[in-house]
Amino acid sequence: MLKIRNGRDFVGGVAMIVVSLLFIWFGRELDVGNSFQMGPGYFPRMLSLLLISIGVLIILQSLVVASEAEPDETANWKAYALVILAPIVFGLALSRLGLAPTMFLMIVAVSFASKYAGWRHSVALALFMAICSVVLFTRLLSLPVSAFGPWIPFLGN
Amino acid sequence: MDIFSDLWLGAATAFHPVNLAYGFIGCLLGTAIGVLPGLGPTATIAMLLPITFGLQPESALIMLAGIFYGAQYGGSTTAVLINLPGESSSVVTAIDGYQMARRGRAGAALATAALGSFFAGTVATVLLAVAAPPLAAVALKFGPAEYFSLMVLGLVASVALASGSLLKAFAMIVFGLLLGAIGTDVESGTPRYVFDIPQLYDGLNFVAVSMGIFGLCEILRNLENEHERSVGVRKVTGLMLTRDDFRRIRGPVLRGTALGSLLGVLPGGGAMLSSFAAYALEKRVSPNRAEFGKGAIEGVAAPEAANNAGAQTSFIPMLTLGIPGNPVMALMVGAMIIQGITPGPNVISEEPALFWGMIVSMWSGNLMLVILNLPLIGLWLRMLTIPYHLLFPAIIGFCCIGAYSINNSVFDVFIMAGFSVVGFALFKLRFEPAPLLLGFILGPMLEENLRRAMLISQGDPTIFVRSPLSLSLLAVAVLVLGLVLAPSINRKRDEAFTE
Amino acid sequence: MHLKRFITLAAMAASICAVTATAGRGQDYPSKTVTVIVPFAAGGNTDAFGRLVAEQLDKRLGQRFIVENKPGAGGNIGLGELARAEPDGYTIGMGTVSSNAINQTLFKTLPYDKAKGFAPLSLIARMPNVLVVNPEKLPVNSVQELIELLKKEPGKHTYASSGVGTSIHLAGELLATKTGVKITHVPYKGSSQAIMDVVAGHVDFMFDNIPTAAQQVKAGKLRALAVTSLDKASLLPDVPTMDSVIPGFEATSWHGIFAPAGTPPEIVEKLSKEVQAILHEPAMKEKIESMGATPVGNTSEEFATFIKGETEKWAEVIKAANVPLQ
Repeated sequence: MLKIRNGRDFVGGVAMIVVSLLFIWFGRELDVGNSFQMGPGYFPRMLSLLLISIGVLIILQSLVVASEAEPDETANWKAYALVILAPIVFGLALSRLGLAPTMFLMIVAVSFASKYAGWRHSVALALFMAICSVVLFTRLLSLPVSAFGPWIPFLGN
Repeated sequence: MDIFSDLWLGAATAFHPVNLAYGFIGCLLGTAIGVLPGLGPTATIAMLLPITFGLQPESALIMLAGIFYGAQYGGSTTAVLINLPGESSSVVTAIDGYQMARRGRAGAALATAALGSFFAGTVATVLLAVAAPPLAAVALKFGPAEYFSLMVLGLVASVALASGSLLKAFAMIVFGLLLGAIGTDVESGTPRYVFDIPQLYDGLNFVAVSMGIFGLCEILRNLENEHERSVGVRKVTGLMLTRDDFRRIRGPVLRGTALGSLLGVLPGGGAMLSSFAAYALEKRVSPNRAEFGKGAIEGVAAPEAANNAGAQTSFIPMLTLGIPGNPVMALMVGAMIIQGITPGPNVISEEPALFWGMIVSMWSGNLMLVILNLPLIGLWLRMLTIPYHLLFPAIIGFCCIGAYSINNSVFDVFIMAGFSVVGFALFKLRFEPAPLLLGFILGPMLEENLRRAMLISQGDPTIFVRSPLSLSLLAVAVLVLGLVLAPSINRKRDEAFTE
Repeated sequence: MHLKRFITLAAMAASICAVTATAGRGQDYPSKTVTVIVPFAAGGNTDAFGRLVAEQLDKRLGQRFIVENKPGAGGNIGLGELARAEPDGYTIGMGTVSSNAINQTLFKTLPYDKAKGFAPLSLIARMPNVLVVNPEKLPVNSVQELIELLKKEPGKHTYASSGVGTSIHLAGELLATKTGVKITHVPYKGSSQAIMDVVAGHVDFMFDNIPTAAQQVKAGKLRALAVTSLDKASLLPDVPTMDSVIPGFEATSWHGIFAPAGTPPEIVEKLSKEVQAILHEPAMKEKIESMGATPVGNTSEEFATFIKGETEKWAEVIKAANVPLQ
């Protein structure tokens, strides 16, 4: 009976195969051509097939070679969610609120991804970053983004 | 000899107090902006370009060159301190530089980068002064077939970047090559994998992908196991290099300088290939090869020297042929055209003060950078003692603005967020990100040159072996592949026998 | 009597109000910062023209004109933003032959309404392309000789371009369709890599923007056969025009300034007049000519007619040459 000796690698091999299949599927309408007259689909198709075979080899290896013992990792879902969502919120809010409020809110929110965060520190850091980024990027480097966006009454433009 | 009168003319221009001042301001601004996460040389120059429009041509170019070196050095600083390469060539610096920082040797890593870069810059400047035209002739020898073979060699060598499983490193390279296929196909103009999103027509942006995969992903990893208040770097010792360090970096810096000077001349990817070619080479020849990937000082010295030497010699095609070899040089050409100077093969004879002034200013710029940065190392180290729970939100904030500033669009901010997820998943599955990024950079060049060569040869694949240059590059690639595979095949066999 | 006088007065008042109201929209403008979107990266030609004009508008109208680079997708991203902006004259933008005449046909979908388009303000400058050959690979001295050679060896010769669907590529396709020669197109990402490979002899010839190519010609690395404008170019005064060999051959890359569709006509008029005046200043003319371009500065209507003609011309070339749509 085959036994998975290295679960991580087994999943890794499967992941690579899935990635290749995605590239093959979404590129199904690209013209592949042949080795002498390569179409736009040739290169991605060949690479996908290569990645599938590497994925298969990784899976085979995971059935033969056992993984080394590693310390346990505990998932920290709160941190993942905050850190990954922060740039998305930043991107969505930037043109509407402007740089200063967006930066302030994002920094306050994301700082709670750490368990050592406290309100006082977070707000102070967020204020500092908001002022810094406005002075540096909108004033000195004239990045095309306003300090206060249209959603901010009186200040915005 | 003529060269001395030329250099004297250059020195008169470069050491003119006004130009010296603009050079210094350029270095200062470049370092200050480049050290912010996500702001590499291209973004920094693009942002600061308009302020040079009002200057004299010499001052403007000297200042821009200063910004370029400064930003490049600043990019290495963030690579070492927070594992965030701001441009493709510092991806390699991040591997061992960040490990050194984690072991409390950030000061030594930064000093190595500064001194190695200065040495390499000096050598490359001399080379530029004495041998620019013949080197440019070498660059012209590289056609699509030669570039393809060079890229193949680069890809084979990039396996050496991985410290773990070889098979998984191959998988990452191929994954990176696939990601590089996203965007408009250059040969046919067909959009690939763009899902009708206009921003994807130009492909994924390297800086956004790299900030997600390295920078944000590193924050996720640190927050996951937040046992202490400062998880980034545990302790900071050894501000300066020891005698032993000097002994260890001597060889790597020399070899890195040589590789960087040669590869930097090649437009389109030469300078970028040089840093990891240097790393791969050291990993083969160094007596401390076991330490690579865990904080070997050679792993910082060689790529940094190569990177800076390449940065200098990448001026050669622009200054002697009038052809910009990379986006930074294209910006410089744009600045020159606005100044009323169109760069071309005659720039040396028509604008000698400008040409030689720039060459001398390269050296003076590098000198200023060292003087500026060695004292700053203390300041950067102090930054590492900031508690991590205050540091990481600031890094995320700067990453967001940095991603925005690439194209002045929030799309790249979303791409960065997306790739932080990809990077974290790869980390969980123990795939290493550096080969992925190199595949991503090399992929489009590999494919373009392969298909361009076939187009030019009317579908005749012998074009790759007919050119002696291309043939020898391919032969080296096969040799390197053999060297890379041999030990691991032996190991596999041993493992199979012991079971 | 009273009533009549009152009515007259009222009518007068009303007409005065109406006049000041319509004039006011144009006269008060601009009362705040104006954004100039450049749909290409900083450092390129379009960026340079945009900044030159913005700087002068700044001086003349007493408000800040800030250039914003919004590069990507051949200019489509920046133009998409321009189309979405409030049509109040406070957002204007640059456009080129690619972004405003070629992309209309080349792209199946655009991020803005193709039919609605933009309000053209004025054509800023036209830049001729020049047909250059590598003298060692192609021993020809004139366009006639080139065509003869290409006819004798069909499919054997290659020409480089800065990418599929660029004005540089389409100039090559125009040559092929007008003369019936068979040539192989070798696209690059940007014209600097392309010209490098022509200089090195990996590719035989190309059409390129005049400033960079002229430098290579002066240094003897390339031979210029013809320029693609109807008039000879100031940077290469001895080079004949394509038109003199192949009548009707014209392929210039041009740069103009636009407002979003629906911008009040008074504001369009005012900006157009200012831009025209700027382009007639001797210092400005000299600056643009030193960059290898010809300053134009025409009215909104003239520019609109010009764009229409260009769009139709390139649509035909794209169709005739079977360039795949994106």
